[in-house]
Amino acid sequence: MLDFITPISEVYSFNNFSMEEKTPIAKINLRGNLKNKEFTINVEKILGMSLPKEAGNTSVKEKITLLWLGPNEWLLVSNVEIAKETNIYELEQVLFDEISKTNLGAVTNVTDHFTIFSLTGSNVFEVLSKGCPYDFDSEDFLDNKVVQTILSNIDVTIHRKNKNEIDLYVRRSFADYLWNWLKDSSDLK
Amino acid sequence: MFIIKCPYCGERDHSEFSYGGEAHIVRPKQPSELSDGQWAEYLFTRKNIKGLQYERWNHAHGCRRWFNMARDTSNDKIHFVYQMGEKPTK
Repeated sequence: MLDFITPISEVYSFNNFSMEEKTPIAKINLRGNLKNKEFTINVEKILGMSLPKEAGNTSVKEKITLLWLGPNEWLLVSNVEIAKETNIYELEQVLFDEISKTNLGAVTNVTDHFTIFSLTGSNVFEVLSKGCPYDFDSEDFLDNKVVQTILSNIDVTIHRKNKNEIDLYVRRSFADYLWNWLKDSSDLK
Repeated sequence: MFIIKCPYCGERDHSEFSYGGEAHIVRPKQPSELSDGQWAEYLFTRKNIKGLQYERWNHAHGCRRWFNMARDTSNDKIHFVYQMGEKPTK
């Protein structure tokens, strides 16, 4: 399931800050107990990669990115776009059959729940700091780390790609509001 | 800024958290056998301590996990945090 109607239909840039909404890509919320060996073994066999176990870590493979959301919760994001015509993400069914149906954990498709803004620019964190209590200068916040926090009163997930580029996960219904807020804030004066 | 140390995520600003009231209140095993007074006591009566209090918190805008905290209500000093289901060590 992918909703190809995106809430934002523009690309914005101001000085060296620019942002755009990513083409819809599949996202799956995965929950389960790490202490349950069967769960971790099954998941790692299906995905071919290990689950990030420490707070804020991510693991990236060719086609999949896994984000840590909590001690028993992960967000699986596809790195590849799905063909508009077929609109099926096979991995979801595999995970659902092997994890959900066997009561090892929960697999939920959140593709249309979140939309992703790609933000680039040398002042990205300066812009975010205008409405975010998180300390982006923290020693823990390195490349490929993920942090869930509030940005201008709404919940966001921030995935730092490098010091000039981040992916911002925001709920679809808040996307328009946040987009306008970011536009406004990118003028740092 | 009031910084809270989430046992899962580390130090974060208090605005990401929500308060869940006094901790370690045990639900009566047989609610139907209680009088209205006893039930009201369980539901509504809290200690309202000045000093060290054990309370529940939720990292609502972060990892969304519940945890316990020992906080001094008179000066907001956080003594320690511990996970749900654990008993305070001190």
